[in-house]
Amino acid sequence: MFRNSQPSSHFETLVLAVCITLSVVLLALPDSVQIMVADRLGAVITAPYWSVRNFGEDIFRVRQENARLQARIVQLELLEATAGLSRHDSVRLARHGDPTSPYRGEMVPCEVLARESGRFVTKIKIKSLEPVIWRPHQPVISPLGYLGSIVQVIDGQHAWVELLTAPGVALGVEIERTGLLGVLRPRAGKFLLEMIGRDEDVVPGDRIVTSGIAEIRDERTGRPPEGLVPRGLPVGVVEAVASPTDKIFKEIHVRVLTSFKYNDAVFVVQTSVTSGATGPEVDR
Amino acid sequence: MSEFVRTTMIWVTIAFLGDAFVAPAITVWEITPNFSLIALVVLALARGSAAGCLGGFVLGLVQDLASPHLLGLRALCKTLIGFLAGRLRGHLVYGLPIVEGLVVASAALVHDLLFLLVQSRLSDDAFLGPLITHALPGAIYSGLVGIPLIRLADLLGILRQEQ
Repeated sequence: MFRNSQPSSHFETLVLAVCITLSVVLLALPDSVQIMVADRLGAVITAPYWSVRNFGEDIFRVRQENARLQARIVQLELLEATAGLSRHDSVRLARHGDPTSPYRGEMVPCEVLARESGRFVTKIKIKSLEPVIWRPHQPVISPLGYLGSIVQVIDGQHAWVELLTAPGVALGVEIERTGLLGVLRPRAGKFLLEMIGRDEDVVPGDRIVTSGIAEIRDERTGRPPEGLVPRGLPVGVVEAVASPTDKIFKEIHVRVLTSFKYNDAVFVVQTSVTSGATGPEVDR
Repeated sequence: MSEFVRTTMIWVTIAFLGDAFVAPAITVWEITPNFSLIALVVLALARGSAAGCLGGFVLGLVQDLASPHLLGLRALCKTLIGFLAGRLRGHLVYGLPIVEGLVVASAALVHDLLFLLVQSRLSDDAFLGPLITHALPGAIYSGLVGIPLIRLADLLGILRQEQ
């Protein structure tokens, strides 16, 4: 559709002439004067704009900053916790040798993008803020505790995480107070700590942390991935303990610390434990 | 809402939000669409040459204040582009994306051509290099990005006002 052309009015020509004149005058000013004029005009014209824009950019960045800070806090808390654990076990470890290595790695903050739909949520899709080198079975934690492990790498920033609630998952854990080793498994919506003898010292309220001895087997080498799950990641608290007379192991119910229903930000634990640090192969 | 307020809101939004937040996110090989120029074309097509001149002068001056070297050059270039785009008002076939894209791309190219001509002081290296590596692809990119924005402005009814 063509519209009728409108002749240029005197007013339009006048506006054009004024704007061009002003521009040329500004352009003709000496450099030092240009800078001074820009400074004075900028204080009035552009300062509010820059304030608003900087504020907007700050808001845009604050979520990423927040995730990084949370990662740092969790990292420091874990370092503190594992240091305490090491102190607590120093006598025992001096006698038997250190079979595991405490947490010495870094946290990669990630955003939770999606959950695998189904009656029971067993996987979540995460996205790291920066490209990272994922490895299958790397542990993933929330600010509260152990959440699951990487099960499928999509690309440098995306991966699927299998949650601790998934059927068949078994996690090597220990009781922080006594150093007793066990295996944590999900059972019908609850978590049971298995393989702890009926005469062992376990009481409700005992904290459960990862033992650093992974249940996962590397198919190619037949050895547990070295240092993949560091020792000391918080997992849960003993909720109830029973010693049935017809069984050789205790029945220990554990309340897991983290929430599997909603997580805004999670952290992939990038361990820096060197080879040999995982100690002996343990077949449970 | 009056036509003036609606037009002003749209072109100011395109210029400032586009340049500040959208452009950095869609930069490809350092080529960025010129949102302030797209906004200027929208304004000039909606309100005519006088508004185009004034809007171009203000937009250019705001950009000049951020880099005071050659203060007034962007204001001059955008004043001329605003005037020329305003003269197209009423002569365009509205609703054809190719036309809208070409108008924006041509405006971006002429703007960068004028800017580089003055800035380079007619030296080949400072003129031809940036013209080929940045101005041309930038103009094409601006034209592509400008199509949906001008379509949006047309749908909002600011391009087919009574003249």
